[in-house]
Amino acid sequence: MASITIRNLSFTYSGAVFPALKKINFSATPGQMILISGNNGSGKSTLMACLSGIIPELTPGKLEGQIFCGDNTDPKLLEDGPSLGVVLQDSDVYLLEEVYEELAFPLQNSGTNGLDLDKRIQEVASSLGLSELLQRRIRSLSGGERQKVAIGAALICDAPILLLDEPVEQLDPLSAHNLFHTLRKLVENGKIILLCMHNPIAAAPWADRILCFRNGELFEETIKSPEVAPSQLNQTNRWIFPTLLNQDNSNLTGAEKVEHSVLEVRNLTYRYDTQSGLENITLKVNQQEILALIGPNGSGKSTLVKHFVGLLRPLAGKVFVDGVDTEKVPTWELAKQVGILFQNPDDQIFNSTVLEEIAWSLFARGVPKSEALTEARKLAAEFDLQSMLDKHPHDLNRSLRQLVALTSVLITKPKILILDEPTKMMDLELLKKVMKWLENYRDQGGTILIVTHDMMLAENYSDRVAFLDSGRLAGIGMTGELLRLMKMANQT
Amino acid sequence: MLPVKRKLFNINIGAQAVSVLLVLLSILFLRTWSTLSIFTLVSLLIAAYHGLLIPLLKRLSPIVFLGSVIIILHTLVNPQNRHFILFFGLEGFNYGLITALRLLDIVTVTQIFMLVNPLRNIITALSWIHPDLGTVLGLVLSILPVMREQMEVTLNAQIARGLRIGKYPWQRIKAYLVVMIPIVIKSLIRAQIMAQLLHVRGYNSKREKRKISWNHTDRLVIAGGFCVLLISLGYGK
Amino acid sequence: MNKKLALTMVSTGIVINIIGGLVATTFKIPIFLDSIGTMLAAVTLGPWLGALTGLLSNVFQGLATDPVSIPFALVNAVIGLVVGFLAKKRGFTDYITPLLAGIILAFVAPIIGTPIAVYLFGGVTGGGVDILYAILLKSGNEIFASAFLARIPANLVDKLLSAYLVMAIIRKLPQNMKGISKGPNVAG
Repeated sequence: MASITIRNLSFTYSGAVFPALKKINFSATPGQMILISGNNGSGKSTLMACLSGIIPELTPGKLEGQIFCGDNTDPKLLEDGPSLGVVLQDSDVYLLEEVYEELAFPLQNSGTNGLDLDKRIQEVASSLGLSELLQRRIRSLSGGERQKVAIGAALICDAPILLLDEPVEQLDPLSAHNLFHTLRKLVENGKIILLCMHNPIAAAPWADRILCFRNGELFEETIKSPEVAPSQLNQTNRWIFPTLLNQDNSNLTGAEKVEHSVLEVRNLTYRYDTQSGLENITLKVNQQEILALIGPNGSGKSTLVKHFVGLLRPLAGKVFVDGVDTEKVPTWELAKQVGILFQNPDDQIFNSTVLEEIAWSLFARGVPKSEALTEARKLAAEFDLQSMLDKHPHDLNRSLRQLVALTSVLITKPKILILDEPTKMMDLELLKKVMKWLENYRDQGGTILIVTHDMMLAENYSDRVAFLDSGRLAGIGMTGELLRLMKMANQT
Repeated sequence: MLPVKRKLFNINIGAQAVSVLLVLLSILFLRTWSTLSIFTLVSLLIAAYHGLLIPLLKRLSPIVFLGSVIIILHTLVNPQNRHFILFFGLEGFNYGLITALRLLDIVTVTQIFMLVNPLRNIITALSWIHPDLGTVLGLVLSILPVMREQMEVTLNAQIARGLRIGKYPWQRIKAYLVVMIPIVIKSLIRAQIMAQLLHVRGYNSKREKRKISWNHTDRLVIAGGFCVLLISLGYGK
Repeated sequence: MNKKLALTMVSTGIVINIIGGLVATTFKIPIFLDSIGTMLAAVTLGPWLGALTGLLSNVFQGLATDPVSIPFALVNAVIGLVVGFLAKKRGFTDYITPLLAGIILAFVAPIIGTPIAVYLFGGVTGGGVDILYAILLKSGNEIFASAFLARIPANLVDKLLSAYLVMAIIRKLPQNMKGISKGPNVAG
């Protein structure tokens, strides 16, 4: 019978001062779906790592206490196969090129081959909606599809215990619903399933037990979270666009109102080799406004904003920054006026202290070292980063790293700021603080363009909203009005 | 995959590889330009028969260039030049010609092997030598495109922050670091997560080391390789 | 060193070799800089895994594009060994060790590479080094000696620069990545 038993488990990462897990006690028996929630850094993933053996085999540190996670059935009766199926938090990392191979890998490791292998792969693929994607390269899949592949690889060996860390982070609500349904069936057949989610709302109705991590300690919640209200669901849901495409947008105020436009594109067209891109976009961003650029994945939002810093050049049409045609202007020149915060700070961080990283943008412009460092200190203080200036950026959590990246962009005092999907890496609390600072920045003359798929962010902060869909501008207008129209469309 | 006659598909990669190695070995025993040229001709004919001639020639063109440089350089300045026609030394010419032809033959044989077998299959087959070998090179195949993309992304991000590549070498070296460091850090993080994946997906030595079962055609192919070796040993004297 | 981690790190080292060369080309730096991965692997994983990284790099390149890289795998392996042992003894974050590495390799790499280059290519590279090679031959030197001496300058620049770049990269790594190394001073 498979089971999990943990007694007085404590773990401290090597080099850390405080333990990540403090005397955890926990047990689980077959037929249970257990939901573990908690903030980033509270200990959820550490616990998963201990259960799967990653700690201490791959991650060094001080481990104390007892863990049993596996199957203590009589070995003679045991089918050859792993006792655990695990989904790691980062599902964008994979081992092999094609989906089929990735799913086959765990089976091959447990000795399955030939026809049995193929049958099992087809079975799992169809339960996750991956059947059409089996011959595709994982690299070409969307984030949600990749996540499904990772889940498939965990389910494929039919292990009695499943550990899933943020399994629906990139899934659309329908896929998430289907997954929970599938997991529920597996639990009813006797599996033990542990789900870690920092936002437990979606999974709560499916779980038998709910636990919560706070600062390395585990608490059992006896009260299950309330059922999700339908209106709440719609807000985090992906919206329905097509209804808006047929609307006549010229009645909407703000679409044509030209104050002083600081960013402008006229008839902009850009195409990637894969035929996607932008088609004939005309758009103006006015000074001191906050414009939200919204659209589903792949609609062209990032493509559009890259034109404003000259990373991409139009195939047809024109791009203007502060009234000047960008055609002959090199990127480093445009960077003086337009600051852009990219989605992932790890794509750009390369200094060994937070202070240097923030100051680098000034070094790159030839500002003398001491002056740059002083500026950096001042700005860091405005974001409460003073205590972390000597730390290595990679010793901070993801959210703070994004803040460091933001600060390194703001230090050059750009007149226009573009934020590309800020909610992806930054947690809500931090984002609120940042937006407050940015509203101040706007009041002092700055302009902000936010690229996001998060409706709540747009609703709360932007003056105007522009919708992009499949490379076309589907609508633009004042936030309140447009979102009202959206909600009406969703309800029909 | 290039359209190759069915026959070659069915021959086990391992058998092909053994045969290729034997043939390569035999090249090393050929010492005259005449025997080496015959070898080249035969190889090209075989390639043509299987419809591989054009891609093969494309891949050989840098070698042909290199071969010409070898011949010219040695004809002109080889220290063993004694007999001359104008500036051109006969000993050097002979040395250059033999070296160039030998190089051409070696590359031709290996390129034919590579044109017939896609890289992924070759790498999987390496698992017969050692199971981890196929894994390591297989991982390289899947990591490489990811890192190439990462290079683009990081380059863009840093340029958008104000990085200028500059004219002078030291500026370019600095820029090199600004781009390489995030790439290295990200790839090390990725390596750690991949190791975790190997762990949780049960990577171990139970992975079937496929038993080598060679059929009639495979044995013929290997025998063919031996024949070539024997012939060249004979001619090499 | 956990085996699974060693596997993925070696693969990563091979890829960094390739990308390192690619970035150098993109920035029009006229030096190969294609052993950055081998050196990094040697510093963080030790000399033997570093050597393996170097060796398999050439094997991979050989199977993927250029079969004549394969015999030179030995040279790349030696880079891993030299850098690895130096890093183990002295760490790779000071200014002297990369200098030592560069100088040693500038001689050792050609010593191993030249016989292969002479046999396969008659000592010719198809690049600028050939001019120096031709001059040395014309002055009456033997083939091997000329090929060897001709290769030293380019190797010196490439290996020295690579070593210093690797040192700069290591210095910027977060603590938990430096800590993978077995070297006594590198985890500092």
